[in-house]
Amino acid sequence: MSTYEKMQAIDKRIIYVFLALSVAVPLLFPLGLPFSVGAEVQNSFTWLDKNVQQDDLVLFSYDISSGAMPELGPISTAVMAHLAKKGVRIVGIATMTEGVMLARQLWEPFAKELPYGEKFVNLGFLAGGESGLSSFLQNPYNVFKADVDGKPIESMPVMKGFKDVKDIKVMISVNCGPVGGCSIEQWVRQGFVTHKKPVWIGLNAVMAPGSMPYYRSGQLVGYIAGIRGAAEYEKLVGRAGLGTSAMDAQSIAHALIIVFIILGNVGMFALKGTKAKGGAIK
Amino acid sequence: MRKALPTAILSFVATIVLIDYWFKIPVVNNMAKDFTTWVSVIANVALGLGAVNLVLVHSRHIRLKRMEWGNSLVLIVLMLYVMVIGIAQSSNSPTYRWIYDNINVPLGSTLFATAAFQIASASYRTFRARNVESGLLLITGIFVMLGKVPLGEMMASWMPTFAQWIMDVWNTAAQRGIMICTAIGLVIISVRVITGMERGHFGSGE
Repeated sequence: MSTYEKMQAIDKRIIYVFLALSVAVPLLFPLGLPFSVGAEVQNSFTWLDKNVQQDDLVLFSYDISSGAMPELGPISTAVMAHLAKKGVRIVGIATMTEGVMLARQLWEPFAKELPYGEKFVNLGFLAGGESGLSSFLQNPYNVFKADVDGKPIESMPVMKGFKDVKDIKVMISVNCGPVGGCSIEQWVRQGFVTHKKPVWIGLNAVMAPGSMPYYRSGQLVGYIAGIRGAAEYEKLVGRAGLGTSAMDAQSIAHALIIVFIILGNVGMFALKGTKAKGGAIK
Repeated sequence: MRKALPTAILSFVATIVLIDYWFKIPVVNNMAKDFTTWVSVIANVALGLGAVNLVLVHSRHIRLKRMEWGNSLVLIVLMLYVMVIGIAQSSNSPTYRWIYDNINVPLGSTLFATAAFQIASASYRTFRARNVESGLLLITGIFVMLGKVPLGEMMASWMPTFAQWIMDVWNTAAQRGIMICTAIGLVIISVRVITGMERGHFGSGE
């Protein structure tokens, strides 16, 4: 096999080893690469900051699976830190079964700022996808009589004045996709289209291109995607976390993939050139 | 009858929910509210049914000693173990939470993370500038990848703005086209389902 051919056929195990190192080394020895805050994250932050006030009711849906936690965990934490600072009341639900446990895990660091029952409640799994969401928004007590631990919710201070969707200031969904839960489209349809309520989304980077039109058209008031979005939000909230620490690793990993792609293309063009000239392939 | 009755129920419910969206008729609005609540109840029952079905399918694997029946055994034992703890001690008990936080979450994250390795390898093998279109895709991909990380910003301050411009303008335009076509298709399928013309979701009936 010639050098040019080798450049096009690097063993995938070599790629895997380099990729693992490119992620692990910067996490262990951070480079601290500086990054700016993009317009989307800035606008999403500003919207929440301006429009949500002390004791406002925020519906926070943890539409997360454990697989998506590395990306969506930092997003949820950063947004919850912001909401905790604002002193809002958070009603937590999950349209994915796993979100119930993850909601609890994500709330725990804020147990002091968002005392359970007063500023936060975890209602648990909302079954039925979009229809379930529609039903919940029309009458939450038809769907949930108690929280995830079986405690009655109507007497909780966090639920005070919450009769239906009209009492919600903003709906936030940290969302890993439609498999088993409500998708971004369903949130837009039920929240924005049907009830004319602001919908604010945090999502996996891989879902960003497909959801961008909803944000650009104003159907989403907030939109942060992936670990980069989480890092930018952490910067705005002033609470560096997993998102910020992952930025170096992501930089090096992206650079490494680009280097491999360039190598493959250089090999391909060089081989073509050599063949066209009719020369020997080295 | 096997298909006619479900079709009639489906058409009736769908029509009520549609009318509820457009008109304020108290009787219809209340019925639609009830129907959407039923969906939550049915979905919860379906979850339990799914668990029963899972046990039945994997029990058969074990009984017939089919390929990798050991995995089926592990699945059933662990599922029942977690279920019993969850029901007996609640999902907030230390044991249940330990299992979830220390086994389920790391395993799920690890499985998801392996996709990064596959994507890296696949990108290397498929991103080749074989013609103008693939060349454009390759260049666009590289700019977006660099624009989304601090390294790209260090290389050129305009990189994030450029990457965002690609996402905002080119990507959004293409996505909107796809979405509009999908929405039109969805309306057509819905009309076919409501009117009973589309019966594929009932299965072949065999």
